[in-house]
Amino acid sequence: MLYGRQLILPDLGKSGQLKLKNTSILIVGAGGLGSPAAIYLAAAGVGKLGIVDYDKVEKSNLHRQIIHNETREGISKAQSAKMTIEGLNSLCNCVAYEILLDSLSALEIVQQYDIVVDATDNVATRYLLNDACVISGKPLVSGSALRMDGQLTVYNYKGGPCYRCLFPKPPPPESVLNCADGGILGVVTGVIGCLQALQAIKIATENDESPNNLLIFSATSYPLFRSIKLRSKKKDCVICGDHPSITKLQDYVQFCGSGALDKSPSVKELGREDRIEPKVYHNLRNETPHVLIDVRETVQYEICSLPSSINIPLKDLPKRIEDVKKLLETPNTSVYVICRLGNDSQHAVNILKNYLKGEVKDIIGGLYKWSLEVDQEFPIY
Amino acid sequence: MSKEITILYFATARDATNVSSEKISLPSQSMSMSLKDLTDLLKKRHEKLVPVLETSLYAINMEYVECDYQSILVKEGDEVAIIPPVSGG
Ligand SMILES: [Zn+2]
Repeated sequence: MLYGRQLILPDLGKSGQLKLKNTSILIVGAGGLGSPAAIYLAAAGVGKLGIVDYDKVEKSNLHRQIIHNETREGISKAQSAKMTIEGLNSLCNCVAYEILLDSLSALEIVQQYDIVVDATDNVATRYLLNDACVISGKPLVSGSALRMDGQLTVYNYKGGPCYRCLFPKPPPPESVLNCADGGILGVVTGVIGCLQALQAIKIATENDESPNNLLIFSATSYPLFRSIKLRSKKKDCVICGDHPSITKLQDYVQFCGSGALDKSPSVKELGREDRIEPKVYHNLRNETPHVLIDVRETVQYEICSLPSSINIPLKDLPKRIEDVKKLLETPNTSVYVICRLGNDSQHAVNILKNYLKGEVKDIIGGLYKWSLEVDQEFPIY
Repeated sequence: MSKEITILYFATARDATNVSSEKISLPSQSMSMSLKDLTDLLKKRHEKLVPVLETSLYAINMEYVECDYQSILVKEGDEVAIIPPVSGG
């Protein structure tokens, strides 16, 4: 019997199992958090699961996005998640939404579900989902993770706060790291995603006695978990307070200064004259004396690097100008700068231009483009 | 002996300070300080923490405090957690 081992749980029982069957849960994001959350919710017998994701399956994300696999590379993450769920539990009605959730689409979708699981990877969608859940009166099971840290909270639930109550102001976009730039240990998203599934099950089965709290997980600290007791919602909150000034969905990309698609926003800081295509650099590499500086963090440089490149992380560059000067054969020797995607290298060129006499250029698109256009053997990570 | 409070840093607050916790001494003769004064003191100690504090929430002894920082007092032995939002996934 499919649910036998959980049916005999006094905390669940037949009535709890029926409640799960009659519950619909929307999971926004089929990534590191959404993968384990969706797998456990489907396996537990939730009647209907909606999965929203705009992205495609990528190999470099499989270490945490475990609902997908190598054979699905390049196909829609929403569809891939649906395939796994249907293979796991054919009784689960799974709906895949291959869309970017925005102010136009969010309310209509959110209103069709009982519980919303925020498993997204960006600030703008977090505010969007918060507002959509407050407006349509749905509990929001919010999880997040980066590097070795995670957070879990249920917003807009039992008189507790919403996301805006706790974080009224979005962090400045340049301070927000994403998993592509900051890194993430797969099991950290796994821990938080599983807890999101647990929390959703407790809400669905009306089995949640705990006061509103913010759970903090820190894989490198002791203790691993800390629970912060929250208050009730704020009377002056702009959306869930006594006199809300926000009554319909907003422009969240503008509010946050960055959107869901700006995974690693590409910067255009430099003019054409300060930049060089990877192919052009490849051609002059063995012909022209020059210095190649790689401004990635050392932990990344150690994974892979171009021969004869010198590693000076961007954050150290301002205090290492003299080291750069010592590398030059003549004061006019050309300097080229490379990084992973071609953003930090532009910042570095802007710094170096103030101190160097010779030409300073950034390699457009960084090692990523180098790998695509010059050397397919060079690893993309 | 000076009277101390403990500060806990999470996520980007820990990155900005390079420590996960530290002890701060209360000004001599005083039994407490306002959260506002503590914030100013932390900003002076850690330049990189300034933008992080703008959007972080505070908890004293694992209980969330609203941002009326002038009237909230931190006492000897209190544990103040600084919790910035995490948004990845
Ligand atoms: Zn609110």
